[in-house]
Parts: sequence; C-alpha cells; structure tokens
Amino acid sequence: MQISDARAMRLVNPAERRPWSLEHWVPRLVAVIALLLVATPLLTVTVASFRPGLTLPFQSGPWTGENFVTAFGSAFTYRLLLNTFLYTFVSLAIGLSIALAFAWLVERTDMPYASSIYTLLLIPLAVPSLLKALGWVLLVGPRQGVINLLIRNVVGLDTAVGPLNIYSFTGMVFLTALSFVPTMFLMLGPLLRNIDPSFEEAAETSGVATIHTLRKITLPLIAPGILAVIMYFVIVMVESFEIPLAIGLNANFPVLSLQIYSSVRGSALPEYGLASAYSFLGLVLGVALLYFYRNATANAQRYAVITGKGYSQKRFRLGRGKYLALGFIGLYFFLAVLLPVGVLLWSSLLDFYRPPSWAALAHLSLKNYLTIFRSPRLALAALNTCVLFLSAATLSVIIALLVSWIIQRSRARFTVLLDNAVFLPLAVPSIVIALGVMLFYISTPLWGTIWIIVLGQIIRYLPFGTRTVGAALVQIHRELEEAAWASGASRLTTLRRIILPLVLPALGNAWLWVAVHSMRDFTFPLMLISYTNVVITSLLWSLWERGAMTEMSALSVLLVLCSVVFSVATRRVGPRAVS
Amino acid sequence: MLRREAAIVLLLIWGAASSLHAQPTKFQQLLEGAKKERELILWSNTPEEDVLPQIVAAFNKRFGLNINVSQVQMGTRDFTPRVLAGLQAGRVEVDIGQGSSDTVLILNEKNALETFDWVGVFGRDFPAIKRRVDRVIPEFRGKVLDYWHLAYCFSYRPDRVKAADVPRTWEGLADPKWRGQVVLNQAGSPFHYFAPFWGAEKVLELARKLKANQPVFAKGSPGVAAAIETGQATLGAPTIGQAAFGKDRGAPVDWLLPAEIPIEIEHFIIPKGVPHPNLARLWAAWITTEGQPLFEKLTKNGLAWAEDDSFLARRLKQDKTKYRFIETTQQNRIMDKTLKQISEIYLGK
Repeated sequence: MQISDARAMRLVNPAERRPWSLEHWVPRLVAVIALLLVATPLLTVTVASFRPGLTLPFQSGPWTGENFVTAFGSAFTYRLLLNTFLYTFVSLAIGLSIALAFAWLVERTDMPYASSIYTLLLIPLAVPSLLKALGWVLLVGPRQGVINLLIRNVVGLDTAVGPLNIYSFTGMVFLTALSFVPTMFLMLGPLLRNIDPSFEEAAETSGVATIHTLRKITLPLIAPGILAVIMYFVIVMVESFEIPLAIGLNANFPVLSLQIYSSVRGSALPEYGLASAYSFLGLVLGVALLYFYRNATANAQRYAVITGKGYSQKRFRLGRGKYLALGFIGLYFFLAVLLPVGVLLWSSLLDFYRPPSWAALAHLSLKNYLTIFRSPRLALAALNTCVLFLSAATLSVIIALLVSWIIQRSRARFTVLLDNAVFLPLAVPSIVIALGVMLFYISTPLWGTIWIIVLGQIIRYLPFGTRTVGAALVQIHRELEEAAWASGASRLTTLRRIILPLVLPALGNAWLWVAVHSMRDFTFPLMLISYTNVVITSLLWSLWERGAMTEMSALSVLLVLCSVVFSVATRRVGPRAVS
Repeated sequence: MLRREAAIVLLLIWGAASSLHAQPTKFQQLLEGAKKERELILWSNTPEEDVLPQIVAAFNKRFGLNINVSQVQMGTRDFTPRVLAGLQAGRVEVDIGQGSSDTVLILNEKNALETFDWVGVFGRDFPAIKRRVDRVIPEFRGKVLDYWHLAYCFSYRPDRVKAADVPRTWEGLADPKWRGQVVLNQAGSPFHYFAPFWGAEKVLELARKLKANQPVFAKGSPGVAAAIETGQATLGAPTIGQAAFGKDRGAPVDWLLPAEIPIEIEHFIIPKGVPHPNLARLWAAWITTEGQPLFEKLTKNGLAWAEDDSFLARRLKQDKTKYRFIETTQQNRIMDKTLKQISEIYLGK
C-alpha cells in the first residue's frame, strides 16, 4: 500500500522540449481561448463596478467608487453577510453530509439498484429553482400548504395557519440542502469510485471498524473533492437568489444574494455597477479559497489514488443495512422530487390551482398540455433547447478537461492565472455575465443565434466543469502519463488513451450537470433572446409573466419529463456504461 | 380684361391645387415606405403571441399590406439594456417595444429616442393621435406614445373575506387584522407610485407597517396574483389584468378598485435608428388610435382617461375611483428613489 511520493523525479514529455510542435501549442491555444472566454465577465464586472448607476459599463462617462461605498459602507451589508455565512454553513453541512453518504452508498457499497439510484438523484437538477420553491410553498405554505391541510385534517387542528411553515430559516436551509445534494453527489461520486480499495482493505485486514476506515482513509483521500465542493458552493451562495427570494424574505432572514438581486431588478436599467461591486466580495472570496485549495493540494500526488498498479473494485457489504440505506435515499427522493414535482403535476391538470381533494379530481384535464402543444413557437423552442444543452454541455466539458489538464500538469507560471480566471466567473452574477456577452459579441455573427446563448452558458458553467474534472485529475498519478511518454505516446495520445478513460465518469457527470442546468436556465435565454433563438424556458417565463400558473406547471412537467428521459438515456449509453 | 385676369388667376390656383394634389402627403410617403419594409420586429410581452396574428391581420387589411410581425417576448427590464447596447454597437435590431415612464426616462437621457411629428403625419387619418402624443410627460412628447395603462387593484379570496370587508384604502392593507394574510410584490411596487402625491415619507411609513404585519412576499405582480389564487394569501394588489386572468378561469378570486389607484402608462417606444422606421410608425399610430379597440378587446389592456371609450375608463368612472399617474420627470425620479427604499425596507434594512 503506497501513497506515491510527490517528490519522485518527473519525466518530461519530449513535446515540451519542442516549442514548434503542435502539441506544444495546443494547450496554450486552449488556455488562450479559455482566458478570452472568461475575460468577458471579469472585464465587465470590473469596469461596471467603477461606473455610476444606470450606465452600461463600456459607455463613455465618469468613473466612480460610489458603488463600493454604497455596497460596503452600510452596516446592513455586514448583517447580510453574517446571515449569508450562517445560511451557507448550515446548508453546506447538511447537504454535504447527505451527498457524501449517497456517494459512498452508491459507489463503495453493494447497495441494490445503484445505477437506478444514480439516475434518480439527477432528477432534482432538472426542476428550475423558481418552480421548486413554488412547489414547496404549495406544499408547506402556512395557510394553504397541502401537507399543512393534511395534518390539520388528520389531527383535527382548528387553525388556519400551520402547523408547518416553509417561511422560516429551517425551511430555507432544508430546501437549499435538498437542492445541493445532486450537484455535490455528481462532484463526489467519481472520486469515491476511483479510490483503490486496497487502502480500505488494508484497514479492514487490520481490524479497523468501517466508520474509522471512512474517517481515516476514505475521506482524506477525497479531501480535494470535498474542498472543491465547499469552494464551489460557498461562492454560489453569494449569488444564488431563488430560494432566499421565495423563502428567506418571508422568513425575515435576508441574505446578500437578495441585495444583489434587488439591485439588478429594482429599476428599468439594472444597477450593474452596484451588483458588480457586491460580487467583488465573491471574487475576493474565490481568490482566497483557491489559494487555500492550492496550498491544501500542493502535494497533489498524495491524493493520487489511480496509479500504474491495477486494482479491482471491492464494495463494502451493507447486509441488512441496505434496507435502511434504501429508505434513506427513498426519503430524499420523495422530498426532493416526488413532492414538488407531484404538486406541479397536480397543478398542471387543473384550470386553476386547488389543493388536492376528491372533489377536485372532477376538474382534472389535459387542457393545459393541449394549449402548450398548440403554441406556434414550441417546435422551434424545443429544437433550440436541444441544440443549446447539447452544445453547451459538450463544449464546456471539452474546454474544462483541457484547461484542468493544463492546470494540473503544466509547469508554466500562467497556470495559476488560468486556474483563478476560469474559477472566478462563478462569483459574477449571471445577469452581469449575460450583459458582458451582449456588449462583447453584439457585432459578431453569433449575435441573435442560439450560439450566443451557448457561449454565455459555457462561461457560466466552466467553473463547475473545471472544479469537477480538476478534482478527478488530482487522483491520477503522473506515473501513468510518464509511462505512456516513455512508450513513445504523444501528449494528445496520452490524453486520449490514458487520461480520458480514467476521468470519464467525472466528465460524464459534468456533462450531464451542465446539460440539465443549460436546459432549465432563464437568465441567458431571456437576456440574449431574439426571434430565432427562443428556448423552452423563454416560453416558461412568458407564461409566468401572464400569470398562467397552471399552464406554466404543465410546461415545467414536460421539461422535467424530458430531463428525466434524457438523464436515463445518457446514463444508459453514456460514460458510466463505457467506464 | 377683368374676365381674362380672373381666368388667369383661376388657372394659377387650379395649377397650384393640382400640383399639390399630385404631391404625395407625408402620410402617403410613409405608407409607401412601410410597404417596402414588409417586416416589423416587436420586443414586448404585449400583445400575447396567441392574439398577435389577429391584430396583424387587421392592420394588413386596413392598409393593404402583407407584413409579418416577428415578436420576441421580452420584459422592460431586459428591453432597456438591449436597446442601449444595440445603439452603442450601431446595431439596433428592434422596431417597437413598450415601457413605463422609468424606462422612457432612461432611454431619453441616453439619447436613444428621437422626435417625430406624429400629429403632422397622422393627424388627418387618426385624429386621436394628438391625445396619444399629449398624454405623456412633456419631455417625452413626440418621442413616445401613450399606449395602454397598467392599473392596480385589490384582489382577494371571496371564500375567506367578503367584498364589503376588503379595505378600500392602501393603508387598510396594513391593518393588524390582515396580519400574515397580505401578499406584497417584493420589488416594492405599486406603493412607490404614490410617493410624488402623498410624499415619500408617508409611503415609506406605510411600507414599514406592511412589513411589520408579516406579509407574504412574492416575485412581481404575477407572483402576487398566484399567491392569492393558490391560497397562500388572502389579499394583495396585483394588476387588474392578472387578477382578472384568474377570475375569468373560475379561480376563487375577485378584485375591486380601492378609492385611489396608481396608473402606470405603458408607452409605445420606437428607438432611434430602427431597421423599419416607416412601418414602426404606421403600426404605432394605428394601434394607439384606430386599432386601440381591437387591441383592448384581445389583450384586455385599456386606457384610463375619461375621454377614451375603454373598459378601464368606464370602470374607474363607475366606481368613482381616483387615479394617479406620473406627469413630470421630477415625479418619476421621486417614484424611482422611493421604490428602492421600499425594497430595502422589505429586505429588513
């Protein structure tokens, strides 16, 4: 059992010594493309933060620091920060614990139906957060929530409110943690899958209890992955506003993302400057976390669990515990998917929303679905949505793989810059990225086509891709590549034949994650819309604007259904099957 | 001799008149230009895409045209930056859009609008055009047209509260008896419209009382209407259009007009440098005047002014409702500032 020594002598690929070779230039070219992509949001957010209110970033006009004074000169901002910290900490702790447990159960134990469970856990990703929150309000709203009505009827409570209340800190954390789990699971699953079981077997042979093996062996080995998850979500929480908007404001527990949302949606021309100034906090936090992450994983080969030595997967036996585990996952699936999607499905079959009852059954019909199918824009929107998510996912993942590989393997100094640059757009609000894309690309042939939305989403999702793929690359020992080079393989051949198959599970997960998020995204399609690039979420939004809630529910159910079919199909023919 | 001179004068007058007659009027010139343009690009959520074809058909029939309207569903929050970015890049893609006075104020300040002689060109064919020009804030005259009006109402659930018990004043929403039952738009609308008339402090005080009364917050006016429809709240103040949408479908909601309501003018906007200027102006002049009854019938969006024969005007008159609308840019600025302050109060500042 040997965790490889990072100080081992490194073999250098001969291509690195030939500056004129294609192999020498390809990584640099990819790095330049990635830097150009991320320059859009980073330049926009920087320039915008120093421009006065109600001004577009690149219009002529004065420069000012007033946005920073407004943002950070108020004591209220620090109250919001404290709330954000508390909200993030609790949600992360709960979400991460559940996701780790799920990832371990699916990847490292003899859990029955593991592949189906894997697919089921992806379904919550397909439901747009706005609808998820709406679904939960319909379920646990204090006055008319379905669950509250049920409890009142069963227990015979004579009250018009409660007993449960989604509008609370608990409700907000509960929903956030539930929504975090699938993404965390996707980030952690491949890392657990790749662990050489001989480490754990050694502990088992020495009589160490499973729980201690987990704590002392398994968790430290996937520490970079856990760190990547924490980094990702800490930054996401600064910007993510859907659940705080639906729940936090009602719970009287405001967080920073609500302030950012308020500045971009409070007037006819969004206050991009103020929103950008707030997002600087996320940028600074991002740089600090990356620094910490780099230090923590500086001795990257300590975490390299995929070496030249072969191993066979061995799974922990759960015994009767598997029923408990199945129940645990079933409960999550019930809460995260069946309940909110179920209430949307119910709503989609009605002419207007009524709480479920025997009497209401008489009013069920498919009228809303027929209305949706009669929409003259549906076919174009569906086609565009397919082009959008397939392209955004594929291109994001290719770029993420190449960039992560350069960051992990290249000794060039620019990799630190590249690492920061591809991660930091995560801290920039989507609406500011969309503005940047608009201002930078409006004069190009991409403008007005579906490809401009693809471009925006690649920039948005690149940080997730690089974190996920990067964490998987850390697990691959350099000796595998060195062996390939020693056998005369080129750098690209090594990438294609050695690295790619090993990180395929992580790539597949990143691809699926981006595809599903791309499908349900509102911001880019709404800001970069034209007559020809309309997508399903554009239609969804126009139904919301009209107040057509039941029709919107019908379209949402169709969107979720498509995502489920797509996820299942991908899982069947995708990277997992290959790996 | 006298007869000969008279004949010459008559001949000259006839010549001048016939030459004038042969000269196409500005309206005819514009119509000819419109015929060549053939396509109109509309960035707006109104009219809805299911009724737009009927409006286009009526327009085509009226002017003997065969134009196509390409509609992009877009809210004003996205319209403004898109127009400004397009102007900055010299690539204006839209012909027509709509927006409230805060949108027009920004576009005007950014020099994105140009003045047009609406009355001179369309006054003879569409006499009502003068009202559509004059009814907007003086600084905006000639640049945008008065299109339709967004009116707010009190929507409520009749299964929980009788119409007689629904408050008739905005202050009534803050009554402790409605604790936890009122839904508010988290952005602060529509209370900010009253700031220029009541004074900002009175409006902010009301916002504080509302916040203290543990309201339900929802996203935008659609969210307010949805919260009442789904029973999460008992009453709130969505737009009439959204309240009526639920009621028309049989939802247990109804609406009434309080004693005083704010009216938001939705302006017809044609930005500077649009690709099809003649067609855009012809459409604008027609739909805000002669085509207005059809527009109102199909979209349920009407005009509040007493002199206009609109369902909204009739309802306001019938209920003796006092309505407020923004008349100056100064009032608009007060309103914008108050909106931000209300949203901060809601946020807990």
